Amino acid sequence: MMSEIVGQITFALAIFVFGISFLLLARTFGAERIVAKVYRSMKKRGQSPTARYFRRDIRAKVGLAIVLVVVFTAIFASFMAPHDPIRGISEDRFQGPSWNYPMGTDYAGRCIFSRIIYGTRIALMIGALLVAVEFAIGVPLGLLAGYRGGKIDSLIMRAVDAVLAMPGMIIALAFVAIFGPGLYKVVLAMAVTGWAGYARLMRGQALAIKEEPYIEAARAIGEKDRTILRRYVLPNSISPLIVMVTMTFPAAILLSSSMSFLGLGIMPPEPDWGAMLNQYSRYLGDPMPAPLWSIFPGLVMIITILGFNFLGDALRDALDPRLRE
Amino acid sequence: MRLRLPGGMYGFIIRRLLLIIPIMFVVTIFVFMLLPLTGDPARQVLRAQGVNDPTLEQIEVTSHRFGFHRPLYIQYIRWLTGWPPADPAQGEDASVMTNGLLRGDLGYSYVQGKPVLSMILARLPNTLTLTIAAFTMSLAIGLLIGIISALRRKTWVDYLFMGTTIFGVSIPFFWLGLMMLLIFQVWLGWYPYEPYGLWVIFPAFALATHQAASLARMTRSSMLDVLRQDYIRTARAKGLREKTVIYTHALRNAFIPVATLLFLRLPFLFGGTVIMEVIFRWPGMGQLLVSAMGGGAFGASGGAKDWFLVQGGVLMFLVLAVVANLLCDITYAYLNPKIRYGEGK
Repeated sequence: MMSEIVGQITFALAIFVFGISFLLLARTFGAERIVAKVYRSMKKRGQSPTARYFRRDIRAKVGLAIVLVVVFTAIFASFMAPHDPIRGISEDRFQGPSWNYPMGTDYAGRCIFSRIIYGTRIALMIGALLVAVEFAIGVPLGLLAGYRGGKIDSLIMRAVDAVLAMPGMIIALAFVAIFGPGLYKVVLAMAVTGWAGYARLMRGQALAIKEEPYIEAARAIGEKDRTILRRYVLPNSISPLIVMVTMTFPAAILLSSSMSFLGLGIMPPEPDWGAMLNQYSRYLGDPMPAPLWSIFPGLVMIITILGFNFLGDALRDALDPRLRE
Repeated sequence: MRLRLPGGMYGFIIRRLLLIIPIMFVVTIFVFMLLPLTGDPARQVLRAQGVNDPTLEQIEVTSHRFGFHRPLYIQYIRWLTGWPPADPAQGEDASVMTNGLLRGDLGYSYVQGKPVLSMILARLPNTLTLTIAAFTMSLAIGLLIGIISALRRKTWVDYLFMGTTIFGVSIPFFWLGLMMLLIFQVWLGWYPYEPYGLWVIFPAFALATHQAASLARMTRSSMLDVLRQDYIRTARAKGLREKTVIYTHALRNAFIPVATLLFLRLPFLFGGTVIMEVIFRWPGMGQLLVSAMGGGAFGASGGAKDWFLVQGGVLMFLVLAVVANLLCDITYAYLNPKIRYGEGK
C-alpha cells in the first residue's frame, strides 16, 4: 500500500514537472497566444473552418475518445486496477477471464488487467517524455538551420540526413545495452536519433515562412531575429508540429515496447506492455490461459495506437487546407 | 521504365559517394565508442567470461591484456588499423587484439571465442534475405492496395482497404509476429523450430504489414493528387487508353512521394528485422546482435554482453543502412530529375 501511494505521488509529480517545463517551453516560444487562438477557434461553432472540419470528422471523435480514456486510465490507474500489478496472489494462478480477473491471471497469480492498466502510465510517460526531449532538441536546431541558412544550415542538415538514414532502433538498443534498462534511459536512447525528424520538419517550415511578406515587414520595423522566430515563425508552423507530435506519440510507444520486448528497455517486473510480452511470450506454447497473457496486451496496444493514429490523421487533414475535399 | 543517363547523374553519384566518407568516419567512431562508453570495459569482459566479482588485480591484467589502458585515440586507431601492434612488455595479448577494421578484422567474440566478422558474415545472407523479402512484399502489397483504392475511390473496396491499412499501421508488428507464431507454430504446427529457405515468408510478412499499410495510404493519396492534375486530363483527352493513362502517366508521377516515404522508412526495416529474427528464430545477424547485447525475447534477457560482437553487429547494420540509403538516393535521383540537376543540394 505504501509503495502504491509513493508511486501515485511520483507520477503526479512527474506530470506536474512535465507540465511546468512544457509551459516554460511554451512561454519562451510565445505559445500561450497559440493556445488561446486554438481555444477560441474551438469554442464557437462554425468560427474556424479547421475546428469545424475537425469536429465533423469521425476519426477525430473516435481518436480523441480513445486517447482521453487512455490518459484517464493512466492518471487514475490505482483506482481503476482491481489488483496489485506486481505482487500476485499465488492461490489465484492460471485463471481464465472472470468477473474478478477480467483478463485472467498469470503464472504468479498477477491480474493481467491491472498490469495492462498500469502499463498505460509507462506508455504515456515514455511518449510524453520522448516528444518533449525530441521537440526541445529538434525544433531549435531546425529553426536555426532554416532561418539562418548558409553554413549552419548545411551542417545541421547533413547531420539530420545522416541520422535519419540510420536505423534508430538498433542505435537505441545499443545505448540501452551500454547504460542499462530503465524508463529515462530508454527515452534518452530513443531521442538520440529521434530529434532529426523534428529538426527536418521545422527547417522546412522556417524556410517557407522566411519568405513571407510579414517576416519582411517585421524585419523592416526592426524586430530582432529572436523575436521574429518566437513571434512569427514558430506560431505559424505550429500546425505541422502538432501533427508531428500526435504522430510521434504512437511511434514512441511502438518503439519503446518493441525494445522492452527484446529485453532491452523496461524490465519485466514493471507492468510495461512490451516487457509483459517479453515475459509471457515464453508461455505461448502452453495450454489455454497462457496464450491469453500475450494476446491482451497486444490488443490494448492496437487500440491505443489506433486512437493516436486516428487523432493524428484527423488533425493533419483539418490543419492542412489542401487535404480537405 | 526507360532510363537515360544524363551527364548530371554521374556527377550526382560521385558527389553522393564522397559524402559517405565523413558518414563512415562518424559511424566507426560511434561503433568504437560502444565499449569505452560502458565505463569499465575490463569488467564487462570479465563478466562475460564468468567472473562476476573481479579483484582489482584481475581488472588490471585484463585491461592491459586488451589494451584498454591506452588513451582512447590510440585504441581507436588500433581498432581501425591494427597499429600500434600489441606490446607484450605492457602485458598486451596479441591473440585478443584485432588486426584492425580496415584489414577486415573485428576481433574475437570473447564469449564464443570465434572471429566476429566470420560469425556476422555467416548470418548476413539470412538477414539480407529477410530484409529484401519484407521490402519487396511491402512494396508490392502497398502499391497494389494503394492504386486499387485510388481508382475505386469511395466504393466499398476503398473503404475496406483503407480500414485495413489503418489497422495495419497500428498493429505492433512484433505482436503480430507473436500471433503468427502462435497460430502457425503452436496451433497448426506448420512453422518449424529451425526455419530455413522459404520460411522467410512468415517473418517477412509480419515485418511488411506496417510498411505496406503506410505505403498504401501514401500511394492512394498521391495517386488521387496526380489524377486531378491537368496533364492527366490532357492524356485522357488525347484519347489514350485508360491503362496507359494510369500506368504511364499517373503512376510514374505518383511514385515520387511514395518513394520518399519508402526510403525514409527503410531504416525502420532494419530495426524490424532484428525483432522478427528473434521472434521467428530466423538465424540472422539481428538475433546474434540482440543476444550479444544481453537481450532476447521469450524471457531470455539479462545475459552477459559480448561487446566485440555488439560492435560488429551494429557496424554491419549501420553499413547496410548507409549502402541502402545510397541506393535509395540514386534511385530517387533517377525518378526525380530536380535532384539530378542539382536543384536539391
